Amino acid sequence: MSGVKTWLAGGVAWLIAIVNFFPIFWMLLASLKTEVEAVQTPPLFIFHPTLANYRDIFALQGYAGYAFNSIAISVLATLLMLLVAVPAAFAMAFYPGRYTRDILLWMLSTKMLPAVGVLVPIYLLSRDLGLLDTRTALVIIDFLSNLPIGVWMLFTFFRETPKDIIEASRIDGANVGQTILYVLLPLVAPGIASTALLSVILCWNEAFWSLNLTAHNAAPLTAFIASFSAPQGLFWARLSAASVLAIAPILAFGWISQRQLVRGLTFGAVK
Amino acid sequence: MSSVLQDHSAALRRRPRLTAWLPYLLSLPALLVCVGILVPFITAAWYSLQRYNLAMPMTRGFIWFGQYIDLFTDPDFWNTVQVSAIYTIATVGIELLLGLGIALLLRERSRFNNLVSVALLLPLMTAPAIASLMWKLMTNPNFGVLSWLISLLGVHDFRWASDPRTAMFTVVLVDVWVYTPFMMILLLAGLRSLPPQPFEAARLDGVPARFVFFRITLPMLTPYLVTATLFRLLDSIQQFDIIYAMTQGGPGDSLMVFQVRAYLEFFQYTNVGTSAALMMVLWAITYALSNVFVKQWLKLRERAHGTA
Repeated sequence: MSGVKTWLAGGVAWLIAIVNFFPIFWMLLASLKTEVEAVQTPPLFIFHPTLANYRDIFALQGYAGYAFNSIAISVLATLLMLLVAVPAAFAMAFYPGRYTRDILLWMLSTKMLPAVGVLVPIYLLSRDLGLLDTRTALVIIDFLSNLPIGVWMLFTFFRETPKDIIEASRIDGANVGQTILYVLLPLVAPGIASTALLSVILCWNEAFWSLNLTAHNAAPLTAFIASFSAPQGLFWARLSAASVLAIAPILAFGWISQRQLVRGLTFGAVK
Repeated sequence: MSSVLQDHSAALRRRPRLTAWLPYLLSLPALLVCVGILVPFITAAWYSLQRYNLAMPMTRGFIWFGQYIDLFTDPDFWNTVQVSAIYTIATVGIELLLGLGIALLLRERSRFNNLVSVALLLPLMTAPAIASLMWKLMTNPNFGVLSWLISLLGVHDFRWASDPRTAMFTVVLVDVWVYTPFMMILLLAGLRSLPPQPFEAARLDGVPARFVFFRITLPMLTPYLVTATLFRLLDSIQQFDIIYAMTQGGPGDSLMVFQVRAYLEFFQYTNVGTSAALMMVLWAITYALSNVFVKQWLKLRERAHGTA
């Protein structure tokens, strides 16, 4: 009885995993078809795979530029975020004051401001400052929108670090620099890595601001693909190849760092 | 004796001075930046009180709450409220039930279950804009693989996102695909962290499974259910990426949620004032919702951990 049940549960789990993976798989298949095969009815499951679409995408004017923008924006915005968030989270976790919790909740609440609501002022402001279609504008926006979550996540990590450890290392004769470098850093490194990972994923996937504040110059991959799809679905195979190229790095990156990822994707709510 | 005490208290007084200042100094940049985030928001609030259309700069003027009065008497606005409410309730409700179901299924720690739960993370890492493309490819009425599948089941001419009757269903489906894993991981972590004793006791006493679920599992899981629902609720009511990529708010007005409508109001009609007023209403709703939930959440956390 129990054996049948386990077997059934396993089957259902398999089914869920397959249904869950199918859209990604189907896009991968489409990217390996010719344009005609991609829109054929009934849909083709067996065909001669071709890498022609990928070759076309790489040959496309500017593709490398979009990929570079995606990488540069994600990395810079994440570094900037850590630079500001780590000291703040450290202070809040190790030296909590009377208002620490209120400040933290207030910071998180800025995350609730609807993006479209601030789009108009930000659009007009970056137009006046000459920041439209620059990587700088996107780095600043991504930094701003990930900061509250970054502080919150780092805070939840730092809070778990035993506080006495600083005192203990000071008593053992370590100076402030040594305490931070040899005692604190190794303890909080996984937390920082996890936060950085989340930030990179959020920046990489960000499409709203990229679409509205950039054109050819500073557009990352998401904006490029979204603009690609504007004309009727004529180039589904090539579009699929471009999409696969845009999500593959982040999926690979995430698969490697599963443990950190779960914590990041749930904003620190899961250990 | 007393001098020793004095020395000691003097040393204590000296040290707190540094530790009292340092934390504030360290948090200052982050605080300033968060205050900076408020600036565009306040600007938007200011715009919402003006008649302000970029195409007609001459008509710009302060009109107090005129914009809001216009909104509240506009049937299109109430359509937006209704569509947003349906979308939010449908996505969060379905994701909660599915997420809970899958979490219960994968509850036992085994290599297979862990593998499946990691595979379930893939949609969450996919950019929503690209996830929408995947679904557009699958639900194309002419060549989509899903259209073909349901035609095998005898449903012909199902037009997915391009039919006002089924557009909501289609977009909700995409949202469910992307965000159910979020609910699932949170609830799975919650289930796995529950103490085993009550369940063992229930098993020894031969308590029926349904009773265990409703009287032990669900109540103990409540803090996690509240957290997961809160996160998804705030996100879903503000959904833009998926809806805009799938249908741009259409067909007709069938998916004109708050953000999409405000977006079109600005980029199509350059109507800054109306767009800002819409966002203020959305913000007020979000704020009210989150206040209710955060209070519940803090209460539950305090009960669970002693401190929040």
